[in-house]
Amino acid sequence: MLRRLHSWLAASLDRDRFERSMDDEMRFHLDAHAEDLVRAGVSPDDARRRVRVAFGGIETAKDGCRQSRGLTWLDELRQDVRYAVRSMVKAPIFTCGAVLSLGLGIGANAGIFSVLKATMLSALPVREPDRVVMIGSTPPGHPDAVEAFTIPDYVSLFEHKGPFEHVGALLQWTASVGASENGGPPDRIAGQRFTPSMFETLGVAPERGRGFTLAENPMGSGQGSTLVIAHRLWMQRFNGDPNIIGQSIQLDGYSMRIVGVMPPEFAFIDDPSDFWMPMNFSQFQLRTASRPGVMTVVARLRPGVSPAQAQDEMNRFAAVLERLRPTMNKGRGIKVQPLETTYFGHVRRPLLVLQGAVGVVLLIACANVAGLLLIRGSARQRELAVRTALGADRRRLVRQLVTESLLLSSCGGLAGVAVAAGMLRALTSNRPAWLQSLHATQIDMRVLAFAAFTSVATGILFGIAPALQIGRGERWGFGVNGGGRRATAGRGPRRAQRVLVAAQVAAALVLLVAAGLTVKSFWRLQRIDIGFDPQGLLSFESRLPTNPYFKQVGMVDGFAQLEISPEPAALYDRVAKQLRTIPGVVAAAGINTPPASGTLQPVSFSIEGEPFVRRDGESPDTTRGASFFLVTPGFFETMRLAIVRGRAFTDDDATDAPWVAVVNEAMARRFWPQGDPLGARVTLDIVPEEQPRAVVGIAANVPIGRMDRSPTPTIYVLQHQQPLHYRVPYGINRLTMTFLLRLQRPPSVVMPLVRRAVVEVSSRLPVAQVEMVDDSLGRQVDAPRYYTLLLSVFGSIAVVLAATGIYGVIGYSVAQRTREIAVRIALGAERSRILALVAQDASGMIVVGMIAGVAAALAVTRLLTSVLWEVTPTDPVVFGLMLVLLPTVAAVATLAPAARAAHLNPRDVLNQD
Amino acid sequence: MAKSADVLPGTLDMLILKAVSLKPLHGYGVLLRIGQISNQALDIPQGSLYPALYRLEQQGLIRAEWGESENNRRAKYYTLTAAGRKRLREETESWNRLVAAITAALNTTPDEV
Repeated sequence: MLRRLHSWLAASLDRDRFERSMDDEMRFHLDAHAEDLVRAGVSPDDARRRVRVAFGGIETAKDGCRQSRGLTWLDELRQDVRYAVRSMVKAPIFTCGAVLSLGLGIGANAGIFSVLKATMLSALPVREPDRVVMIGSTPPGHPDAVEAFTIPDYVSLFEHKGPFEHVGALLQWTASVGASENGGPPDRIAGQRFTPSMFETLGVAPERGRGFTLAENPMGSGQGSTLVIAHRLWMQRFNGDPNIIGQSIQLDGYSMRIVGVMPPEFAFIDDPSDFWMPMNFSQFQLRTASRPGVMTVVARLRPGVSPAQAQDEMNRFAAVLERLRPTMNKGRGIKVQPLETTYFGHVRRPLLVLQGAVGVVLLIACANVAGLLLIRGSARQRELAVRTALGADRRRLVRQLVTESLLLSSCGGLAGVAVAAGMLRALTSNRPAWLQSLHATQIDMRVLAFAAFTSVATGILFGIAPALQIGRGERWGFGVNGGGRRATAGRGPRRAQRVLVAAQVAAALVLLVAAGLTVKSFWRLQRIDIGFDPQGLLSFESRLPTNPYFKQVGMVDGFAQLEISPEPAALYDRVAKQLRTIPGVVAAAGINTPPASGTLQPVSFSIEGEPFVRRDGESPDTTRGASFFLVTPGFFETMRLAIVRGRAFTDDDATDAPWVAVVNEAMARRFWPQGDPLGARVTLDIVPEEQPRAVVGIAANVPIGRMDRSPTPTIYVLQHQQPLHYRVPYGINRLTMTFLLRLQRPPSVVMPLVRRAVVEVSSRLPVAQVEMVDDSLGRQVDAPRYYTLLLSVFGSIAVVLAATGIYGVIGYSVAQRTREIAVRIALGAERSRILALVAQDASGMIVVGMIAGVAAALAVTRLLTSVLWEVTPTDPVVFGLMLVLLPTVAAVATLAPAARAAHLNPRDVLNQD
Repeated sequence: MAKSADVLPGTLDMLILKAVSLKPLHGYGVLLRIGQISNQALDIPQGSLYPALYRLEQQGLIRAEWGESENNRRAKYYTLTAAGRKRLREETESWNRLVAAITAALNTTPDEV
């Protein structure tokens, strides 16, 4: 074996020497033979002639030698390739069709998979991500509705640990950074509050300095004073000062000492944070809680413990929590989720579905290519038969066909790379927020290889099928004599073609249905009633630092009591009034957090004079909970949030007027199921100084947080009807205000006036995060939009491919039946009859394909449930639509060849033969 | 001259090996030797000689070397290798077995059946 390789190598590397040596050898032979003859008395000339005759063809002998050395295969390969290229060029439609199909199939697959890989398999910024889990609390009866933990529950878990090595929790936070040294306005930055154990839990550490120590931050000590900042903040605010550790920064008016800087690539969960503050909780927080909880809990599994085992232990621990705090935790469970599922959970399923969709496109593409090759194979039967009869080596023929298929597949592969690159560029530039990690994505080689392999395999398989039938010509309906003279082709390839087309139709239908469902879902999402009118609504945030306005005046129950100056409220009211005077501003108001944007501020409350209603087995001392917002008068008008009954706030509801509140429909329905909330008096459970508020109006529901969540009970109170004293963590709401302006003029015109108006009220008020509410809401549908777009693109590709397949097969079938049709026409058949004939031919496979497609779609679309909004996977409208669309396309694809058939001139055809 | 038989395909290799086993030969020499040891009864098509030689060399059954011929001309000489010797022995044995069997079959007289 090795020797063979060696001699082949030697011969091919020094081809000249080999040729010369062979030549010398044969020449010697001829000379020696001639000499013998001359010695026997033959004349030299005669001898030379006879010697040549006796030897036979020298070149043939040399060829034989070359073949023995294995040199010929290279030459033959070159010949094969040349022949293949020629035949590909001679059939441009076929070549383009095949290459395009392969290119789309391979490219789309490679592109999507690369995106998938980059997003999901990219390194999570924690150590050993498969050991990290997220822990959530589940309400009774809904083990899959994961909610945040309450603080006391978190502390219990932290103390218990159980199957976890480390437990930590976090809270998203924003803070005002003091005016910078050069007198610039104060800035709002985003960060997180980490329990001191969080760094260990995640297994990350600052690149400079250190994290939080338990010694500095004992549990229950309230606000800490140490800070870890992000690399970006270090660069931006401190210019990368190497002496950063130990420096201070003013956050919310408090001086924080910087003890660490995180590496640039660290961000836990999506939003990049600029700082991390320690979260130690106050005594009050440790002892009380209301639902919904706010703690995002993260834990690291002990070595050797699996997530399933941890879940088991947590199921038992849930019972412990229920015993500890029966009213809060009755019937609640705990859910342990691997980090990857939660991190990518909402992303994984859609991406997998996309991958599936693209896989289907690849299958359709392969089917297309297979069909095209089969057609071509049948067409070349005659040629192959003739060549075999003329003595061609069958092995050589097969090799040549394989070469052709390989060449075709390679071209398709190259096209695939181009498509993949293009697709990747398109996908990354249009990516929604949740695919942010998708910067420098490269085409994943593995998937490119896999897709290429699939298509090459298909190409070879269906390319050499005709060659394998040589010699068994009858089965394919062609012998040399009868070639082309038979009226119809044999049955073998036709059946295969029709099966392929039916399969393509089925697959295309599945994709179309999937696309249709997501389109409908997206359309529904766009039309969600969010309760207010976001068009022309501009928002900006203005947040005051705590320092001059908050004063800690003592501890009640070990918990920081704050005295809040009335100044911020007055300032905000004045800003709202000023804003209203700006030309181009129709209405303006403020709210502490924009309603549909994300943060929930839960509060407990009690209803005056209300005997406790037992609901769902709650015990009598359950406190009631709702989300609450602080607003300025004019809020509902500005938002165009309908007041269903009663009235909105007016300027008459001044600071010293009776306190009022507006509840939303969800709250009215929940807490006054039979009664009337109007006139009821509600007291918020924040500080004892809270006065009862009279409910004066019922507002329409606004979905809290992300747009697709159902509305929670909500209460709106006036931001200037508040007690003097307040407590953490509600205090911060008194210092934040998002102003909403309904504009009649474009923002670019209005904004400078807005800034001036704000500065006129106070130079300490920042104007930050200016954006149109429409845009921020639009961002929330980025993901569904992206998704829908992609699926629609795939659906369309699938349809085009399937249509091409149908066109090819029918066209070929018509070409095969040309004589038959010509005869029929000559015998007086109507054109319409011919059309019907061709249509009938097509309809068989299309109908079969549709039936199979419907069955497959019903099974498969179930997977889409998680990404569909208010659309069932078996939506009859979508199915119906596609069941009309696809046959229509198929009919059009059939029409061209059918029309051609119907308009055949019989004389031309019959004269040809 | 005795009636010459066409060389059965596959037997050419055997004959070449045999020819070369006796002493190193060049291509023409092999031709002559085969004729000699078969009493001119075998008709070797000259065109298929060299491809066969190259093939046998490729398979490692014979070895080729350039040398000088009787009249001082450069010629390529083939020698049998150890593997070749073994192959010759095996082929000869199996050939003899085959021939014996067929001969016996063909010479069966009616009364032996």
